[in-house]
Amino acid sequence: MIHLIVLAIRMTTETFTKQLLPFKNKLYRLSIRMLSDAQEAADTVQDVYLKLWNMREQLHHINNPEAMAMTMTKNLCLDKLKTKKKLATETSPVNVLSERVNPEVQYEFQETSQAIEHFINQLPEQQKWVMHLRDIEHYEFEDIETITGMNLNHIRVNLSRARKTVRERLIKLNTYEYQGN
Amino acid sequence: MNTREIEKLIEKFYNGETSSLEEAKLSEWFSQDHIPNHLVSLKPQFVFAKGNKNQHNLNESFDTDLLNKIVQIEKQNRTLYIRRMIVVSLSVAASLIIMIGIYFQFRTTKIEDTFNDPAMAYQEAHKALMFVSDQLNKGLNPLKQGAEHLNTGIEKASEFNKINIIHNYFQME
Repeated sequence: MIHLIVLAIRMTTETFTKQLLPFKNKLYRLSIRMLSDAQEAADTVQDVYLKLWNMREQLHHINNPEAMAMTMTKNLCLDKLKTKKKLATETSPVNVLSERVNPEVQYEFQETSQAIEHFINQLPEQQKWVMHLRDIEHYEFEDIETITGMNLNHIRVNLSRARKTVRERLIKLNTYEYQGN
Repeated sequence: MNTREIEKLIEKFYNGETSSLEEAKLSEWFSQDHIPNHLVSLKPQFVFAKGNKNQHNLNESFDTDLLNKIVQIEKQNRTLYIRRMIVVSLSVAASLIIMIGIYFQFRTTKIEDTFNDPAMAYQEAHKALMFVSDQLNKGLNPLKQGAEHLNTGIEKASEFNKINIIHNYFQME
């Protein structure tokens, strides 16, 4: 009896995984970007998939499940950040502050790609999301609108600011290295 | 694509106005070896995405973990469903049994034939009915006496009619 049940579930999970698992790493990278914690990010992605599993019957009505999954991931991460912030301010407000005080410190990077990663993480939240979605995941603006809930103009402005900030810091890094050598 | 065109695209890129196709062109152009000196420092911004994507991927075990969790949840859901069905069917069965019990209770008290001989039964019924009429007559007796008293009362009361006759007489006058 139980074997039959498991078999029946496996049949439906096969279509489920074929449809939804291909973009799991995009969800994962977005949650890492937002939470900056690999384990928590993986847990978040699993939560998103369990939610998707619970609504699998309605899924074929949705024309872009990937964008929806990305939106769910973003919202879940925001929830987790909120509770994190609450905990942080309740227990140790000093730590949060000291982390934010020195964004201009020059770290030694083994590769420039690592440096860029660092620059992106230090951008304001909305710029960070937009740049991640566009310059790393290469989403169309239409999808970025769905995922972030921002309008096209707002997205372009944020993207432009983010790209310019990264360029400035990149150039600064290069001259620093040049002077160092 | 010449350098001037690329410079235009780069400017467009930093204004957030490039299309996906143009951005693909840019990253392709920056992937080559011969990049003019004044643009070399920008290279990382156009080629880092590939490496970044490969850096952060989920573990191999993610899929199996997820599937196991789904199977676990579904099993729980099914046992919950089965349990609920058992409770519902048990309560339905119980109420059915109660209703059937009540039905039979009333049936047995109403119909209970204790006589085999119809003549005996007739006699018994006759007896019973006589008893009832006897009792009824007994009950009627005090009622009859009461009715007699009432009649004498009414007769006396009818004396008042005479007043009416006198009244009519005077009116005629």
